[in-house]
Amino acid sequence: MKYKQIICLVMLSILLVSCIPTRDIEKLGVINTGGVDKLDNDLIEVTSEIFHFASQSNDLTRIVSGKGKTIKDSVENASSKSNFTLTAEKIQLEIYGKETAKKGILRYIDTLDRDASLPDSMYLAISDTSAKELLSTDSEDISLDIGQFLHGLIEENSTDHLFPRINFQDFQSSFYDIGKDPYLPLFEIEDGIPILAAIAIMQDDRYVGRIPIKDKLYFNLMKENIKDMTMELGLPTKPFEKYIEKEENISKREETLHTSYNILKGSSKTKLIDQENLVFETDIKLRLNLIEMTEEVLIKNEAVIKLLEKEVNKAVKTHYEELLAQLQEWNADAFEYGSVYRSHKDKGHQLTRNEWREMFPEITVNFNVDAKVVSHGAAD
Amino acid sequence: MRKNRRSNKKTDNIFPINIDELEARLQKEFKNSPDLSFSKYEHHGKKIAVFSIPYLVEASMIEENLLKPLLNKDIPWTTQTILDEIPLNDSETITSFQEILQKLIIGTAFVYVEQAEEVVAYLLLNKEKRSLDKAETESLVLGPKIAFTESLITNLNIVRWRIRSTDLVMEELKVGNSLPREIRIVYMKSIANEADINTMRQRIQDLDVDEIEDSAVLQQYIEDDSLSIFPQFDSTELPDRFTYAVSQGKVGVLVENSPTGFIGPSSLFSFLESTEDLYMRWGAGSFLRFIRFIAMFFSIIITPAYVAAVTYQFGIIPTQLLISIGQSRAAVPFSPIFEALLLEFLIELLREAGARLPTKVGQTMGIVGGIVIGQAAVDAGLTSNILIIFVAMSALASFTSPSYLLGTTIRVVRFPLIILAGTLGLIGIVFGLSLLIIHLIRLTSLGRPYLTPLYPFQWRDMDKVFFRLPINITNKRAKSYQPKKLIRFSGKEASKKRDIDE
Repeated sequence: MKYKQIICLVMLSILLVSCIPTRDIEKLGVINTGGVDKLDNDLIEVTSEIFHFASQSNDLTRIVSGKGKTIKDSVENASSKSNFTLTAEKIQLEIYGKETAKKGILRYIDTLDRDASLPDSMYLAISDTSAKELLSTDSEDISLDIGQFLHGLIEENSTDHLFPRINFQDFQSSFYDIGKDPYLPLFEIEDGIPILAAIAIMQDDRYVGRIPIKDKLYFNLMKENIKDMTMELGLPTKPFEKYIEKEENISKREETLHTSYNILKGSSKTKLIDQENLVFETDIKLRLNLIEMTEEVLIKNEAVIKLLEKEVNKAVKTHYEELLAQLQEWNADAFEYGSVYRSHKDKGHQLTRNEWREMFPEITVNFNVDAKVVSHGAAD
Repeated sequence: MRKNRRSNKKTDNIFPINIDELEARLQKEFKNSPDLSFSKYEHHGKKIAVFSIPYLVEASMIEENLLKPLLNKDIPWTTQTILDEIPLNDSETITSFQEILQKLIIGTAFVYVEQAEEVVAYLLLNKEKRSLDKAETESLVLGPKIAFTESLITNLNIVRWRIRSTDLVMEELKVGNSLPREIRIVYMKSIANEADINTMRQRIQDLDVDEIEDSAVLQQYIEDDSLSIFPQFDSTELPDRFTYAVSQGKVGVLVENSPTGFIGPSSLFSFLESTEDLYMRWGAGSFLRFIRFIAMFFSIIITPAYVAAVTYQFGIIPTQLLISIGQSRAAVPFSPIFEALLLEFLIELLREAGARLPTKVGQTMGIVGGIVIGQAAVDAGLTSNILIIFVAMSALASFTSPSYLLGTTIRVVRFPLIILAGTLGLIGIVFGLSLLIIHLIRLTSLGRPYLTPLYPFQWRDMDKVFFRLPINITNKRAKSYQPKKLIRFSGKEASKKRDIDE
């Protein structure tokens, strides 16, 4: 009797839940990369690259686009144009057109946050052209499909989890933390091939300007400890004149001595020194391995190394100062001085977004660079 | 029984009797079967009968040691002179007719002098048995290869030679009302836990059954939970595995006419242990054991996970894999659950067919099945090639179990899980696994928890179950089974170095 009851209960619980709708992958269009562009009349256009699996066709990917008032609306619209149900559960990268980003991308981010089925690990990026144009790039030079290619560009250009690997979570934390501004990778089309061209500096969720991609090192260094990265520095040739091997250099000497280093270890530390006058101090520590020089500087003794280190310090410091000036001009705190300021502030008062916007252009930072060339290779 | 026999003695004592009459009575009992050999001789004017069942006794012994002296010696035979003069031991005198019948069928030869009070009986048992062989179902790379045979005597001999200690007890029990069979409980009296021995003995003694077909059947009679699909005793055909467990304080059981012994109490993990882990160095031993644990989990989970992922939660598949799975799935007209069940069924067919077929044909079967059918199934669009890999992997993984019984259980468990995964997705798998874990936690073997030492947790026993440590550190027996002697040897002494120059 007891068993009968239990069997009945089990049967009921199976029957009453009915069938969960299945989502067989061969019937879906799996969105891999999405692109968002704002159109004129309050409409947005979502362009997506989808994987679709059909036995008859060899084409694995397809670009679909749809228009609507919201992202979901647009995807729905695109879905109605194709014979697959579009789903964004495997989305890896979301791209915003530059013009769209200038007006703010928060409204497009919302659904990524709200919809639990979307992965948080997707990367965000900005396109110099419209997102549709970037995703429609059809070049024979790209062996992969465009979505995988762009995703690969981001992955390959970053070590660990540093820029340009900015995922949705990173963006959100930089956005919502007061005293921080996010920055995203920016794609550009060069000779028909998309390239990772610059760092897009954002003020809150709005695009304000770009900084060349080779400076990503400086941004990463401000954020976290780095290692095993390559740094290129142009130093003035003049101080090294007397150490350069004369006989072998027949060609005319260049003004700048280009050098390349492998950063063995790099770290930074920022302190607030003067709260009233907003003076900060940032200590940069670099352990370098010299791997290339455009002139044959003979490193015979410690003095040459010391000189080299001094020049490196100067160059890095100058570059940081330039970058900061640029950021202050855009009023976008990508170096996160605001959060340092906030942590030093009296407990009673919460720093607001607007307050920091007013303060940031006024801050002064003393960069102390401590670079050590640990090894310089065996070039005798 | 004993009481019975005594009463028989009174009632069916038919002696003294005429030889012809005795023959007639015996022949009546063996009606329709021409097995009884009844020979009559005249010696010194006295009739003497020698009778036995020829294929149960050793003919040469009768010839050489019984008939020769009986007919050649020039003395008048009486019961007493036969007992004194015939050069055979194991003799006794019997008066009960019933007892004669009973002894006849276990290989006794009888001599009767006409009109004597008793019959003389000689136990000249000739039991046919195969010679010792290599283990078939549990093959090993290292260690002894010998396997138990169907002969209990041989098995006892092997066990005795492996544990040469007066501590070893081999208790005799008889089970089966109509067809009794001899059973031996084997344990170390100074090590094995008393409660375990008593439980085992009591469970076997309390059996009220017609007969025990095999040790596997006895296991099923006395296990803790007959409804469970998990085996609760560790059965083995390897004497070294058997004696190792016995020497560690477990209780072993050997059954007449069965080439497998079994050991209790067992835990789920003891089915995944092999004596080979012991013969390897500890690093390799731990690694192999670890591999086996992973393989079991893998074997259960991989096909259901495929079904769940492809049907519902494709988000967990990495993008690159998603592309190849999607492409191969696109050609398959069936739903993933049907596809998986079909392929699993195919593999089970191959496996079962392989086990039934003679060895030589079986090998060809494997090749035909593995390569031809697998490839053809993909080409025909019946299954996706990714699934073929998963199913093959899970089949392979289930073969790593040293215990055939557990391997079979894992094969069976997979099917409900596939169905759950196909109907409820990953939630279904979690649901199924939870049920499985609840069941395992409740399960006992000889009254001891089945998941020990994981539950109840016993830190000191981890090195016996999940990995192995260097031999000088493992100086204790498993505490979970509460042996009488926990310490095997002094750990301090073992770690001392005694080189000659010291």
